[in-house]
Amino acid sequence: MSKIEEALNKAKQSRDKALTSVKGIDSQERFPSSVRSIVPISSDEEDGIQRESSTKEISLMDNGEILNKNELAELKIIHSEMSDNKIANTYRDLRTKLIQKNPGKNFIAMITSCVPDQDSSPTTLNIATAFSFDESKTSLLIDCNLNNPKLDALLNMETDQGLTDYLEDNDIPVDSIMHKTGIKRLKTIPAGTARETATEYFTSLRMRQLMSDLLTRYSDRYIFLDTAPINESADTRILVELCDFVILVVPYGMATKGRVTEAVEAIGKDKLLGVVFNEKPKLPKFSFSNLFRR
Amino acid sequence: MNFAFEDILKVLTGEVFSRRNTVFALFFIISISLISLGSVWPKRYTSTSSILADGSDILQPLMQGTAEATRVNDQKSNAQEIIFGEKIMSQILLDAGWLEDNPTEIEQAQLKETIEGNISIEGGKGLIKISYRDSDPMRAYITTKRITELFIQEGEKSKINESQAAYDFIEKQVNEYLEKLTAVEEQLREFRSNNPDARPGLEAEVANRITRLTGDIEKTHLELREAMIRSESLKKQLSGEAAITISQSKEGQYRIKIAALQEDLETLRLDYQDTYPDIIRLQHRIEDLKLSMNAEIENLNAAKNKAESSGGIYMDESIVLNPLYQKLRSDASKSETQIATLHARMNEMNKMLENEYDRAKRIHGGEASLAKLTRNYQVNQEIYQDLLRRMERARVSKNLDRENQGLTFKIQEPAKIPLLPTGIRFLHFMIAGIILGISAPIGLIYFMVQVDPKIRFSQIISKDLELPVLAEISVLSSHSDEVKTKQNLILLGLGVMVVFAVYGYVGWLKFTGQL
Repeated sequence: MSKIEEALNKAKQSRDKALTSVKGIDSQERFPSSVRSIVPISSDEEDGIQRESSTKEISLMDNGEILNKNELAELKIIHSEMSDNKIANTYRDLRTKLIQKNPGKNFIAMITSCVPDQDSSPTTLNIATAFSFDESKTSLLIDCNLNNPKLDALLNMETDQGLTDYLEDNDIPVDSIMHKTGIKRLKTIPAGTARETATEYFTSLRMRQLMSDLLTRYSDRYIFLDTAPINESADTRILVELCDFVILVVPYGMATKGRVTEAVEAIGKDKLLGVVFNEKPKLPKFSFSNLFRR
Repeated sequence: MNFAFEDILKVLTGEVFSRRNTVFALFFIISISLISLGSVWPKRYTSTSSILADGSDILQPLMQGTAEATRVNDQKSNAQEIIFGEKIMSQILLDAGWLEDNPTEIEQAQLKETIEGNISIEGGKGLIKISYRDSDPMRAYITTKRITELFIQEGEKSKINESQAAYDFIEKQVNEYLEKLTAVEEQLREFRSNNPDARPGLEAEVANRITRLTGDIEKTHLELREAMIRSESLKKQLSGEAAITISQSKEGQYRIKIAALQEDLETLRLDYQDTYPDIIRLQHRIEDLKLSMNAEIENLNAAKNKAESSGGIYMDESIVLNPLYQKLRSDASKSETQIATLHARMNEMNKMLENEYDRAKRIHGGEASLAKLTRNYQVNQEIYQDLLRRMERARVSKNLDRENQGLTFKIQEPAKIPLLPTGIRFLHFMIAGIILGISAPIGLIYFMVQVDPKIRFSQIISKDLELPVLAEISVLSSHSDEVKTKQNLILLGLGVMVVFAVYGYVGWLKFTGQL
């Protein structure tokens, strides 16, 4: 175990203590507006020190084997050297907007789609990737679509333990469910192996604690929940409670107005940050050199 | 919600691109099927001729009022009547070679219907345009040519027939009126022979005569009265007058003379002696006269004695008839005669008047029937003369038509062998194939975009639903996707080229006439 990990563990333990100290409040307010209320917010001074240290920590973070740009392109993940950087820029703008709307603090963002069978996973992954572009930020992607997890496939990886395993087994440490993705500063928590009665997992205290823990451990860690489409899944509705805000993905030419309204009602106006209109058809750039280039 | 044209265009191009396979399939099907249709589509050749129906030639103004030029009021319907008539249609069937396959009656009827459907006749301002469409240019030409010729032939024939018929009709009428006129004339003649004094103006004449007679009678009557009055007065006068007056006898005359001589003698004696010759001559003369007077007295006595002795009346010489009495006597007698004459004349005149009255009565009935007959005669004569004039006009008209000087049909533009087919041609199919092939799928997609309630515009989210749109993200394609897209595009490009190649090839075949 590296030094960093030791340090992480220490920090975790201290946070756990803090969590247990506010457990009483939590049990009183069964459904707080978000896990943030559980966490005592650190002072600005502390935050500043922590940020400085975390950047260093981040630079030292073990990212595992990094995917090259071709692999990323193949996985339809944005990267900074894209030939058509319009999409990357769009994601960057989105990132900026999210940060602007939540100034000075990290957040848990839930990203959900309003169309069944049209999940938001690629968009979530790319938003998280866009956050990881910034060297001072890390992003964590949690696959909360327990019935139909997509992230592993999207990232082309195989994972053993995940969210459900952690929630079922108290002995499993958080670290063991966080996986490297091959993208710098981006980690994921996959859905996990046990996939039954998801609703119960998400309403559990351990889930709340996990969220709170993940959010508060690093102030520069941005957490993204990839969820099943909200119109279909009760789990997703429960997760709305656990996140700071929700981004609704409306795929082009798939959703009717009614469906969007339905999703917005399920989310609640106060939690909804905005809509991402994606899957817009894109014309390839026509040129002979482009056409015959392999 | 209304969207900017640019947005619609973007969405449309995006949709077209993402559905490019369907679009291409539609393009392929439409363009290929249209060019196939075009290559089997029958060519239609139209041959056209125009006929000038000239009703106003130089003769017309010359013959104005004398001859009626045959007019064609509705040339189009007239031409249709003639051309679609059984006669011309049958002739066309024969001439254009439709009867080579020996079609049955029903087939012939159907053929005629088809031909009629392919004939189009336009008429206006004296120009009749005849067009005929056919798949065979030669047949189109022959048919149009024959229709034109037959139409002119028929038209002229019908025109001649028409004027002939008019002439015949008028001639018949003329003969009819001639008969009538003759009959009336005969009646008149008969009437006249039966009523010789029945002449026009007879009544007036009779009336005149009656008036004159009446006047004469009155005059005569007056004369008669006058004569009678005169006679009366004469008679009266006559009765007061003696029939005989005593006149001086010879003896007395002698005495008067002697006295006168005596007186003269006396006178002379005063101056002269008795020896004076004149006194002596006077004495002698007195002597002589005394002797003559004595002789006379002796004669008279002797005559008196003689008459007394013979028993006769002796007329004293001094007794003479009264001349006034004689005159009155003669006047009265004259008057009597005149009265008798006037009476006779009066009677005669009265008789004549009666006669005239009779005649007047008689001619009064005759006059009415004469007037009737005369009127009949006049009316018939007028009509007959008018008809005669008309007949002459009709004869001229007939001759005009016969000499083709009236309404003439001239071929303004003869039928030609059509070189280019008319109607929808292969080129149209080619153009339509390309245009429809491109526009139909795009139109369909446009329609779908308009109708489909799915959200395709971010404006719907931001404006209609009032939700903040954080980002609009295009499809992110992987490299392999891009390669696939490229391959797909190359394939589609090849497909489009194939379609164009087919167009080019078929077009070439068509152009060179191999197809």
